[in-house]
Amino acid sequence: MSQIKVLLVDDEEEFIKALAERMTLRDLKTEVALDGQEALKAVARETPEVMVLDLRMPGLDGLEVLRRVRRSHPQVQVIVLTGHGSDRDEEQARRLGAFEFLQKPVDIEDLVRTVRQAHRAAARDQGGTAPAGAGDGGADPGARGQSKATA
Amino acid sequence: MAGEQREAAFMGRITAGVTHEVRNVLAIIRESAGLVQDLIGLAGGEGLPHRDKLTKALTTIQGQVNRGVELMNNLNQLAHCPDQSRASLDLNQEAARIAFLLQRFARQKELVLEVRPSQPPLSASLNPLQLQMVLAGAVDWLMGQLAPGGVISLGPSQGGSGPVVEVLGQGQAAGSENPAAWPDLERAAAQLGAGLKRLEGGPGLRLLL
Repeated sequence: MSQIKVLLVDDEEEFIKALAERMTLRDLKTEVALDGQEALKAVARETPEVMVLDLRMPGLDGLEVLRRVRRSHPQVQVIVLTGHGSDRDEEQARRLGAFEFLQKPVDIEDLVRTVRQAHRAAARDQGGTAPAGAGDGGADPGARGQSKATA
Repeated sequence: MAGEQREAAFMGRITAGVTHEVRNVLAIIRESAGLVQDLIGLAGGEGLPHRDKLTKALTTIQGQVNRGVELMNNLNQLAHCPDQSRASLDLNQEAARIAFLLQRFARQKELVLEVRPSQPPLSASLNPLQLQMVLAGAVDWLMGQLAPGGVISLGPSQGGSGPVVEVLGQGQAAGSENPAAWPDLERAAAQLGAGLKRLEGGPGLRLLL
């Protein structure tokens, strides 16, 4: 079963590492970037299928990362996850092509469901279908046993 | 911008920024507690001492995070009130927000504070901060008049010449009201450009928007 590759971008290290571990336990393949520049390098190195992106970060902010990634890698679906989001930010993010705009803190199951929806949307955009199992993983890590992937 | 408006805008900007940061703090707590919960789940049903107590403590943490998020969301919206001097406001939402933020004060006086939303929802073009101040002032005026066990309700509705909000008290009287509360409320209502009428036959008022 192929795992969805998710790049998590946030300068709150404790938050993003805990989130990555929880998503890994739910059979997603995660990588973490702690700022915008690091995120762009990660996308160039190993393009994720879905990116979960904070907006307010030192240096390159989330909206600029979103703009650049959607231009250079339009197949990457971007979910904005922010504690600072205003209506204006949401409008701008959606105009730039964000798949979804979520506020922190988010329920992990809602986030995982959104990641899988974004992955399916990406597959549809490319005229294919999401790999079997990649879009329909269960939510309870305890029922799934130890995950194979690590963050 | 007048001095008071500048002060309100400053307080709003700082408060809004802090609420965003607190959301980050709550997100870290939620994910860290959630990770522990996931790991307990992976450990299986047996062999983990105090499993039930751990799970209960984690559930408490999640519940308090949710409470904190709701507080921060309402406080954030209040902090953004000075951003606009006039806006189209949903009166049900405005009443619900101030009622949520005043719950602590009502609890301290052993009163129940509730909203009776209008159907359909009504909106009015008003100064957001001034409306919140008038609604808070009306609740404060009534809180001074009711004995413990009383109920205060905020109810937007459609009046003859426009939307109104009725703030009603039910229960035993507490004694004499704070003499400064009504004049303060009148001044706040005048600033908002709203009419204010004391109701007969029980503690309550009608705000004419």
